[in-house]
Amino acid sequence: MGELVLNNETQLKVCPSELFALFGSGDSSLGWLFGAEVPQLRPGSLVRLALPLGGLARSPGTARVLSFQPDRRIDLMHETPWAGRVVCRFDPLDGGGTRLRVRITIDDREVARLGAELGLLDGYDAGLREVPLGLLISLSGPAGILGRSTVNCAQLAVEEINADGGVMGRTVRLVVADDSTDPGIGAIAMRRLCRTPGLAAVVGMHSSATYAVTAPMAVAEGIPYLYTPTSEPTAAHPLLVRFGETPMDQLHRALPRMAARTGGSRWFLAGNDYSWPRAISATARAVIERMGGHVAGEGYLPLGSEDFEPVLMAIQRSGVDHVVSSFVGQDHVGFQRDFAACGLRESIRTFAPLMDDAVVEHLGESGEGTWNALGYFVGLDTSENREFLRCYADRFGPCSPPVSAAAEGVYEAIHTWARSCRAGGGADPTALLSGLRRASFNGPRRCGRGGQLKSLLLGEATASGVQVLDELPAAHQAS
Amino acid sequence: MTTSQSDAIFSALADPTRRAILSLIGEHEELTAGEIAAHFDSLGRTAVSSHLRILRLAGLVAERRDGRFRHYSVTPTPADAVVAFLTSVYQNSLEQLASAVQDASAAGDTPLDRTEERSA
Repeated sequence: MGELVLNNETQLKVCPSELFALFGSGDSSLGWLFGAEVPQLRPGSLVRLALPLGGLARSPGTARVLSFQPDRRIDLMHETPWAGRVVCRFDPLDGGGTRLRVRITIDDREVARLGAELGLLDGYDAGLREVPLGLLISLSGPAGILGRSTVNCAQLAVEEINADGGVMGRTVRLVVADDSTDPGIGAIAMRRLCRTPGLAAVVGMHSSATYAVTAPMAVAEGIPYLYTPTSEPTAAHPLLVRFGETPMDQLHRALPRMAARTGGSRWFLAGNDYSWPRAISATARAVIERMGGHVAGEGYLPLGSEDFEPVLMAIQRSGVDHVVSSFVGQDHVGFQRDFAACGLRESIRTFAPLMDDAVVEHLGESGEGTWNALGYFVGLDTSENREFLRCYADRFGPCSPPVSAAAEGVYEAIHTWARSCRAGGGADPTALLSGLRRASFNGPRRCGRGGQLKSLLLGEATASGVQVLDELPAAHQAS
Repeated sequence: MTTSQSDAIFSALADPTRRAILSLIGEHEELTAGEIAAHFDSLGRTAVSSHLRILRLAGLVAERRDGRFRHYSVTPTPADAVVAFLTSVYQNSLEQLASAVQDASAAGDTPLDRTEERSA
């Protein structure tokens, strides 16, 4: 496979050690790369970026430190909105300045994906012996910062399936498309995926706002759509297959536990202003009222918000014991950080239905004490999970982005898809749908036939990741 | 490719709406401004025309006139544009870094001091 190599350089009037010390400060006036936010410079640590790609706003991105030599060199792996290797070299100049060279290496497939997303290059052309499998996810926009480990997990599943003979003797090829956390762009990305000759199915890990636009497209094109995030069951159609947790599963089991822990009864519901957070709040309200609690207030902000003060003030005034926070991606990180910074974390417990291991890495200590119930956390102590994590680390290295529930959900959905194709005797929709009724995959999370979730894990964010507190039967199993 | 072409491509692609418009045109042989505007809820015809002008000046989109309609398509030599875009994104970060460091030393303040002030 070929790669694109870009070399940029500049000369600066400060010495290498001064320049090196600027890396990681999070000061945006230093530009998006040296203005990156790196809490601690060590191999494997997260680098948060603010790229100049959002029009007036800045667009969030992520990278990871691979290695560094003080005052001489920093090696990074750029993760989102695109994947690439970035090497910064600091050479002293006569007279005390520095020659800064930045070398970027991006593999051809990633360049092709970017080109296709910009409408500039033709999309992927499948070979006859290949089964193209679409992955629609967010790699840019507010949800993009969590996207790379999902692509990695999808790639790992596809490689494992291919090592095991592929699907009906054909090699599976992953085709990745980015919805930019935007339904309009999601529709364009979905149209491009659907045009891929012989596309077998689309696995979707993106917002419900995008799903509302792209699910009817999948139905119209006759393409199975495997949707993996936590979501409300909506319009039933045989081609629309849902894998994720439902808000009822998450909230019905976890909120009473949380109230029992705090002894409080007052709740505030907050989140981004679109269908999924509103659905979370509606379900939370029903659960809270059924257990005799009181919803003291609600507050919503548009996706892509940076100022959370209006909602934080309302929370402060409401005198609540708990917040149910359904902010998404970068907004989730921003809200939780500001929530902690203004001292609310000490007196108010938060339940966040999207809090997972990847989010916790972005939050650092500002997320501590947050609860969630999901089908998967990295801390799940089973032999299947240990094996999965070992395979992930072997494949992507010690400095790879941490696995999250979202990413692992995609891994399981793709394995379940392949098993179902085998059980049904083909990769066509009829074979897949018939196979889904019979096939199951024995992966890290506890699923029955067709990927139906059997139990949820109750998790609490700590400084060292999410601690699994308990395992709860999924609501539909218990009732 | 010259620096000014490269800059024009970066400016054109640094805006999410223009990226979406380009992506949409790429999914079709040709589209009129009206057809493009119809795809975006929040975007009027005037705004679409102004975005199209920037994309055309960057050499990313070609315009064909047919009576009172103008049809837009993606230009046929696009691979360089992806490279130019990525190069400019990284170059942009170095230019900002250079100018911030320059400003700091002009103010008699070393950038290192600024870091310490911030964490204090």
